[in-house]
Amino acid sequence: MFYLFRLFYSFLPLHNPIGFGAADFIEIALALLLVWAALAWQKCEEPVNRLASKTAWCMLILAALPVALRLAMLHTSPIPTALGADDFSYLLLGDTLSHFRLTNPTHPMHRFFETLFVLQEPSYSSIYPLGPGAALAFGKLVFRQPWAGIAVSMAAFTSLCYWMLRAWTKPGWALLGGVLAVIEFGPLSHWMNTYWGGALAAAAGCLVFGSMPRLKRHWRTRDAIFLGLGLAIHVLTRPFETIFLALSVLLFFAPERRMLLKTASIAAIVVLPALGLIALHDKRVTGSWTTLPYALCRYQYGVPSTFVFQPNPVPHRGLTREQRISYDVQSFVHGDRSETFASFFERLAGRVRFYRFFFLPPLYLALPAFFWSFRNPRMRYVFLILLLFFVGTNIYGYFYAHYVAGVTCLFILVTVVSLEQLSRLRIANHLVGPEAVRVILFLCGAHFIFWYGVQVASNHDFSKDLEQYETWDEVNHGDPDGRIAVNAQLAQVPGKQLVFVRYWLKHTVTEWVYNGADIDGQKVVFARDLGAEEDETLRNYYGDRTAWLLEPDAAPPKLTPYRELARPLTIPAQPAEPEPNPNPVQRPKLHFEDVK
Amino acid sequence: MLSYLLSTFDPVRNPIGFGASDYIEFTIALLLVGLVVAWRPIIEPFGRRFSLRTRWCMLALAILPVALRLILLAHHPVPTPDIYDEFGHLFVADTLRHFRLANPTHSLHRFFETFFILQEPTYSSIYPLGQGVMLAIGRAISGYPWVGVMLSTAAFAALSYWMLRGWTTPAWALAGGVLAVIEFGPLNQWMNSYWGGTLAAAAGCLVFGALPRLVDKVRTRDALIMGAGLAIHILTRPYESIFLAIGVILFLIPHAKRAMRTAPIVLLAVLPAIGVTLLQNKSVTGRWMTLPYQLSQVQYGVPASLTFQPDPIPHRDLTPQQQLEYKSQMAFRTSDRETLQSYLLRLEYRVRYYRFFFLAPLFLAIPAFCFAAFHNRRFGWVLLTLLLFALGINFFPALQTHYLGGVACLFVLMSVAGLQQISRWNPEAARLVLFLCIIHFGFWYVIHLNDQDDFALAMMRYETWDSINHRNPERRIFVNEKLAEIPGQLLVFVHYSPRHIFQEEWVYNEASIDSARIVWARDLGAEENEKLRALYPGREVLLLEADARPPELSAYEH
Repeated sequence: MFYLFRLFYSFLPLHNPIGFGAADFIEIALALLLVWAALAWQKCEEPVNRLASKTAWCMLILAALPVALRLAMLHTSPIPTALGADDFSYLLLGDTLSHFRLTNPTHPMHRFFETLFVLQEPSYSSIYPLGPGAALAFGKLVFRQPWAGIAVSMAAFTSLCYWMLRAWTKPGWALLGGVLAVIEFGPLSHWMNTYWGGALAAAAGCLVFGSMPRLKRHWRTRDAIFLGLGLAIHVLTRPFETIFLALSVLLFFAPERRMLLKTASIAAIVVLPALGLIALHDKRVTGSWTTLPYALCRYQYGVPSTFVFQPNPVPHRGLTREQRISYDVQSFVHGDRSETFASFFERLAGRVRFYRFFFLPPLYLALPAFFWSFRNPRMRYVFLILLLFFVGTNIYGYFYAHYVAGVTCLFILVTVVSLEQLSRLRIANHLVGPEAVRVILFLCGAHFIFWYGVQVASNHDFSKDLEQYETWDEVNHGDPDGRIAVNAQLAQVPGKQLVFVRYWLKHTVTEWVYNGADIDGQKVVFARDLGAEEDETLRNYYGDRTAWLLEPDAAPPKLTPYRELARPLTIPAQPAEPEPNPNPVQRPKLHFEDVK
Repeated sequence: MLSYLLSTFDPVRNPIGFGASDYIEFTIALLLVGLVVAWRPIIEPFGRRFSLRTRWCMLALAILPVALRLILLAHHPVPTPDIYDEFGHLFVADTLRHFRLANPTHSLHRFFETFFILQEPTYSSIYPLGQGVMLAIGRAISGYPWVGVMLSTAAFAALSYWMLRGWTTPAWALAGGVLAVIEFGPLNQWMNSYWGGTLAAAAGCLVFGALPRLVDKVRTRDALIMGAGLAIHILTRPYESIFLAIGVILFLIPHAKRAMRTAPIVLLAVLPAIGVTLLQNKSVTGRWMTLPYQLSQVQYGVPASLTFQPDPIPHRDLTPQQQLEYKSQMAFRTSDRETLQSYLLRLEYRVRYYRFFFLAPLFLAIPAFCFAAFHNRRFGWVLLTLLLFALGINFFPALQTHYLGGVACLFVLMSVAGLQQISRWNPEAARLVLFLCIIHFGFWYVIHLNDQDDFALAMMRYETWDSINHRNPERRIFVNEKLAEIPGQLLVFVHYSPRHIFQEEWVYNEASIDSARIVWARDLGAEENEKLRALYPGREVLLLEADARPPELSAYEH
């Protein structure tokens, strides 16, 4: 009796206690949410409008919301475990900064620690700019958890998004934009569930685009400092895209040169230290004031790839098998052919898909209404800036959403303005726009609540079945690579550990050899298995450590005590000497982010 | 352009980054916004004006399901019967087409033993006349019995609106009519099989539509309509007519005086139906009071008896398939003896079948209706009547949704009155639920309209409770097409292998076996078969290996 209440017992209608299939459950959930939203709107519209005018409260709520929502998911989606090369490189940077230094000395046994996107010489360092690392270091120092820095960045972005929108639109719409930012880039987003960043650059963009209209309306030193701060954070986070951001500022103030100069002089007070810091970082990591670690990595390892109008980089260092694969893949994506208009536009068209990251599907309905706002020159400006970023980032062979994070707030602005325009829609003297906008917003809310619910309940079969249909959200679940299990296994062993990582022949590019800033001080050191003889030198170096052999290509990854003179099963020892430069004459010309 | 956009549902490869769920979400948004935008300036004013024109509304609602179903014909042709109930009803229709209620027993009837068909004392279907009459009308009009099914659906959709006019405002009645089309129309099992459902539903509309009208004002017309409804229901679902009659009586108790005035007129309409039923009994079973259905229980042990009755025992030699069917029907019973617990367990289990009568979003209207029922005695009576039906049919060990056909309009009323109640709290919320129902239908209808697309094929596994034929049952269509290519009269011996699935019966014949172009017969072995061959010397003889995949049809060699 009472199995009637085991609603999710089965999704076969005839086996389900109330005859519901999966589609029925989704449908009734949607209906329930829409009805609830309609009823709630009736009650809440007035109080919410009042709240929207209270800037500090709104910013506080919007800052707390994504963090609270993400923390509420911790039981099913714990603090993200780093997975990709970028994740680990950012974490290394965060760890380096948390030791209050910009780089680390080269390790005497560094050939064991070769990995992706990490320099070993002239110093041991991440190749990435300081910004995201600073956020992770902040998280580590304040909360003892680097990911807290990501959460704080997200909180900053969502609250600053509202602040930015207040300068462009009415308080109610600004609050709505803030909520949309939480929904789109909050607890379910890639930006909050990896260490790649995105939110920090987005927050910087909010500062820039939020302060400009304020400055124009009523010039204040405070806003100029905010503008400078935004530019400074952005240049520390996404140096290349800062070119387009700076151009955006120039374009905005172009009609008023005096204001531009006045603003620039104040903003420079904040931006210059950031530039100085970058130069210092370059000097510490690469030994040159003007050589970015990123550029040195390209020179040494041939990755990351060059711009599409540049030739493929050539590595100047002996590569491990994994580094070689990574280089080959990036070279392939870059291609050997010279860039043409056709290839440029083909790539541009191909990137349209990635902008789905910035708009939930129901919002696509409202977007055409943005063009109604073109009578307003500011909206034409917004469109132009988005186009600038769209085209500008297209000269790089790869694209990730965080490359254009700086203009995320403009995407939100476009959404909000589109909705505002749509809300004015009249048909046959009937004002039908507000209801249409409400429906779109209800659906966005339903979208978020639905997928959030699915993630919160992600241990249930129902959720597991549904997750395959979730698009563009990215929440960590379980232990996809087996790293958590390996780390847990190692954590149980007392004392210091040394783990030799041995890849099988089938292994591709997924790297396991990642270490912190202070390798020797770590409890666990991950090292490449270079063959018994070579490994012995590292074992001697770490005489006090228990040695393990990790075979990540076993399913699940296999961790066993390291045996004396164990020989690698499949992979020959890595070449000890760097490969000679195959063709020094073809060395790429110097360009932005390249080696001088 | 569209095919380019739908080229893949992998978000990273899709031209605009959309996955399947994004497209669905966008489509829902598009349709919802479209409906919202069009509602106040276009749909609502037109709907309100139109809803006042009863005849036009009924005509439109009658045409709508038929037109929508005909549009689907390219991919979903006229249904081919597959289940033995369907053959049973078609057999009634064929018998009626010959202007008789039963057929004489065939001299070699042992070759024609099948499910739910009596061979002795007459060769007849075990089913009541109602559904067969509609199928016979359909065949008479167009040559297709299925046209009778469509006509029933048209009648039900139109009468739903008429019935609701007795209970609610014209606009909500029209909304109810549209819901009836959406729920029981072109995608529904009732319209895509020969089992029936809509005829009993149409009868229910007549009854429940006439009741409030009679109470408000006694008119001969409404009494006759109610009588007609009861009569059709008796001819279609005799057992459930008991609960229908009780429901009517319960409704009329507070208005006893008026009820007494209308009763003779109602009886006037009902008595001929009872007379026809008795006549059918006499013609088929030889007894006025023995239903063909009951005689089948005595002879074949099927259909199963009511749960408080003892298990029927067959009094006839059963074919292996009939034996298995008998065992299968006996297995419907979960315990040897009915107890309160077994009764309630079955009742609870059957809750799932009520999804057939409510689209998922309409489940939100149910609590709102219950709320309304607290304040409206008539709605309270609706709940009571539905409970009565639920409890009543729970005495039968199996449940098919068409058992509840008679109260389908009450389920529609529940939906409509529930939505009306929600709209009192928030009109936008009620509209959104209604729109979701329309979108639900539109979505699945379009999926069936394009059912050759990968997207549609991928989606269909998520469709629930709809039931439309997709060129199936393939095996029967395949064999029918093969037989159509062979000229002249045919005799097909059906041979089952030991692994034969007993429900897949092939031996179904027309009312007049000897004159049928194709005679289907059981393969009783070479010696016995010779007798039938001798009876039909002019027929080409074929052997059907029914369990081959696909079924094999070959020349019969003894």
